[in-house]
Amino acid sequence: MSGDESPIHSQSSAGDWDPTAGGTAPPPDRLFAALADGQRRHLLWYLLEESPASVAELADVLAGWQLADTTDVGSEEYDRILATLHHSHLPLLDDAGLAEYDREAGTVTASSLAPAVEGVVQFAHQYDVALPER
Amino acid sequence: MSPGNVLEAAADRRKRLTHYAPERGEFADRFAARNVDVSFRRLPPGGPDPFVVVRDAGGSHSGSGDDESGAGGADSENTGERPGSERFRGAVTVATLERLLAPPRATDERAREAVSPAYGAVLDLLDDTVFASLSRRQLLATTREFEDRAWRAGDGLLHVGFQTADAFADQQSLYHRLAADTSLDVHVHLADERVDAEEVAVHAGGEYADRYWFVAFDGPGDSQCALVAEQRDGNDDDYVGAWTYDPDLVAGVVEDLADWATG
Repeated sequence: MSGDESPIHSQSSAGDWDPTAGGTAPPPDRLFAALADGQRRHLLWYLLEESPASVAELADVLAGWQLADTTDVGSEEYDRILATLHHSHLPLLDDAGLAEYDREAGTVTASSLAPAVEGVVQFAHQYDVALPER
Repeated sequence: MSPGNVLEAAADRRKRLTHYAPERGEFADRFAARNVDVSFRRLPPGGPDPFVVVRDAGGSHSGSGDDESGAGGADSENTGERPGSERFRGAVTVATLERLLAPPRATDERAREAVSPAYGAVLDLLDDTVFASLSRRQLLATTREFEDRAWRAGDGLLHVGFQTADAFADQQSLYHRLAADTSLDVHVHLADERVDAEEVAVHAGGEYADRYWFVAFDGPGDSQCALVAEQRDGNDDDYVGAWTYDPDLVAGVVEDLADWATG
């Protein structure tokens, strides 16, 4: 489990803790708004390791996650995923400073996140995998 | 348009298949198709089950269907893919695709039971794909699926080829039922000697039946389908094959078979 830098396990040190150390750390509402959506958590998880990524690649990965609940993802559903990426998820991640969305090139590049923020993203992903939505 | 034209027409239509998994493995080797480019993308640990995304990669698309301009809700913003006519067809897990590579054993008596819906989804995704090495079992499973489509449509022209009278004898009761219980017009093509069969029109001495494994159905709505396979190098369990749902292509093949049958 990452996030060793967070004060979760050492509350006494909370006063000294600087979550912005070592990289990008969005304002709390921005960060937790980004993490409030399952698809965005999947995107952030993927981008931690596979950045930069094309928008099509990110849409593929979201389709892949949907295959846990359905036999196949068809083109209509895929178009919905793409539209949500363009109009919602990617602008939001960009505004939060978590990733850079280049509309012209159709690519997304992860920001260099502070270790504390990366830890939260990884924690959110592990929580998703351990307790999937029903 | 002969059955062989289905293989030629399919070969012109390229597909791109992206395999997402933690490890590349032997997937691309097992999935041997002549007109498909397989690429691999690594999934980080803790991801979804390995899956594949199928895209049409352009080529001469004569059939109906894809309306590039008006389809779906995606806007024209760049998705970072190479420019051109690549179009998403569908995504399935590798486990689902495995059903095509190693299909469930379809017994003769249960042709009318639904083959698994997942199997149908994979067939739909990989139409116009020229598979380099199909086994008899794979061809049989696809044939069963297409017989089932004809059965559900209940009306139309069904042409099926058998290389030997013995092969047909195994299926005779099934085709008898297909013809007797529906309004289907069922034609069986045999490579060698004639066989008498009720309800079913039997045509013997056909060069197509000698050369190809085929089943072609021209029916109402969007039920048209055709499977064509050709034995490789005299190996009786190794075929090059493709199937299509292109209505024009299917109608052409059925017309050719009907012309031949009526002399």
